[in-house]
Amino acid sequence: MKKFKTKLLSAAVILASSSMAMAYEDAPSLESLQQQINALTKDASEGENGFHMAGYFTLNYQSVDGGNYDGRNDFNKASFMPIFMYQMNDKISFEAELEIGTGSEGETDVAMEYAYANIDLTDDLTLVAGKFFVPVGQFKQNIHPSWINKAVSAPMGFGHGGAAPATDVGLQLRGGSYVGDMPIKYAVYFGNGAAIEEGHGGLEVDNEGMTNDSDGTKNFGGRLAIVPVPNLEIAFSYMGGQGGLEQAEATGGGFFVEELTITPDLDVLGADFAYRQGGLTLRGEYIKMELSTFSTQAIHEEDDGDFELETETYLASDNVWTTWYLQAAYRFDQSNWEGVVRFGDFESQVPGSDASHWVVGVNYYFAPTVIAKVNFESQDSIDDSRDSDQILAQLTYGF
Amino acid sequence: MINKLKFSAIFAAFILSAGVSATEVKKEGDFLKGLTKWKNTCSGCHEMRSPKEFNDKQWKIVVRHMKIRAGLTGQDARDILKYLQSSN
Repeated sequence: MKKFKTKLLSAAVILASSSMAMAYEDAPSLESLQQQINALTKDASEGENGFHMAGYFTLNYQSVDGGNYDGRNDFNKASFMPIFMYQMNDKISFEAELEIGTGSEGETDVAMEYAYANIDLTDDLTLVAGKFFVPVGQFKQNIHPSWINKAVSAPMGFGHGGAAPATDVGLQLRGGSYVGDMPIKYAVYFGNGAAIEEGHGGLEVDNEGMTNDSDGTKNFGGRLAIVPVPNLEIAFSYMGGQGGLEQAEATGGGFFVEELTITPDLDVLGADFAYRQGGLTLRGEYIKMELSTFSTQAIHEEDDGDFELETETYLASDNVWTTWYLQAAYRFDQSNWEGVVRFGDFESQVPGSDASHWVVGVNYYFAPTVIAKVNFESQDSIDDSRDSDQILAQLTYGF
Repeated sequence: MINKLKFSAIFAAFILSAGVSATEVKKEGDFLKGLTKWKNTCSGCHEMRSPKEFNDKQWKIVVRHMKIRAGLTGQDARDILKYLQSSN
């Protein structure tokens, strides 16, 4: 009986072993499984669509002597600018940049710098649709990110109320080509355009893209650049259209309605160049913005409750904004150190705003996109009201 | 105003014709041409980033972004992408 039990047990063990072995042989090998996983991973990584987040971070410090910010001694900017890029396939993509910063009272400020879809019409020509940088000049389009800009600040006239257009909402065509062996770059656009507003101390043109076209006429423009020799780019820009009036506002002085009785033409001309050889980078830019003669009328409520119609005329000869700068930067061979010098000038019809601007600075590269900058800046205004000297420092990281 | 519109229309037509008439034969990217174009083009605006900073897929998205931002032709972009993806 014991022998029978032993035989039965042996047979069961052999049967079980052989079926396990058969099952093992039928199962895919570890190597085969690994190959399947590799193939799936490869498919996923080589798929047409993809997402990438780039951007940059900035921490600024300022110590100011004179001018509007006399006595300021603070870390005056901590901002994070993420750029979201999604590519559907080789011909269609989307990207957007936000600016997220800490305000002067600790609040969080969020702004959308741009957001647009890109659709290739040909191999060399792309339709850009959305909110984008106006293709006039080079600083706003390509140089303004802090890890690219050699100085801490933007040149005068390239910020709010300046001469250089910033962004617009509409459609743009961009691309590159060759004339013989010479590369050319081109961009044309049309969009809602700029609006006139009452700024600090005078008239300003708001060149930030908006979804309201107050004058009903689309602005248009473009930039054509040539690269006659390697490392040298020369470009000319133009923007035209009309300047509408920003929406009526309620002011502290009472009910306020303002409208244009004559809508002005708006013209912007620009020229820029960039040259790089070894550690030397030179660039310069000139922009002139003009509005033709126009008039506004407004109804103001007086303190005694009466209403008064007020008409004001702005002459073309006064409606001119001009800015230019020249910048040289030199990165010492085999070194992480770089020196930078910039001189610029800005003129506008706003009283006291005409000024020239010197920047001298030293940059240290922890990595190609991680830079510490220390700049000395001096501003010399025509009427001395905005004369100032300041030390600016910045730590910036582009990723 | 009409003159401005004419100017705009002519400029737009020029660009459209430049783009449309361009030869649509897409060649594979060329490593050596890509290296030269990478050196000459990218450094025009910013410091050179290491090819090892991104993987193949990330470079594909970044180069498309720069193609549009910097006004590169499709072939220039493919050449630069070839160099970057072969050097990371």
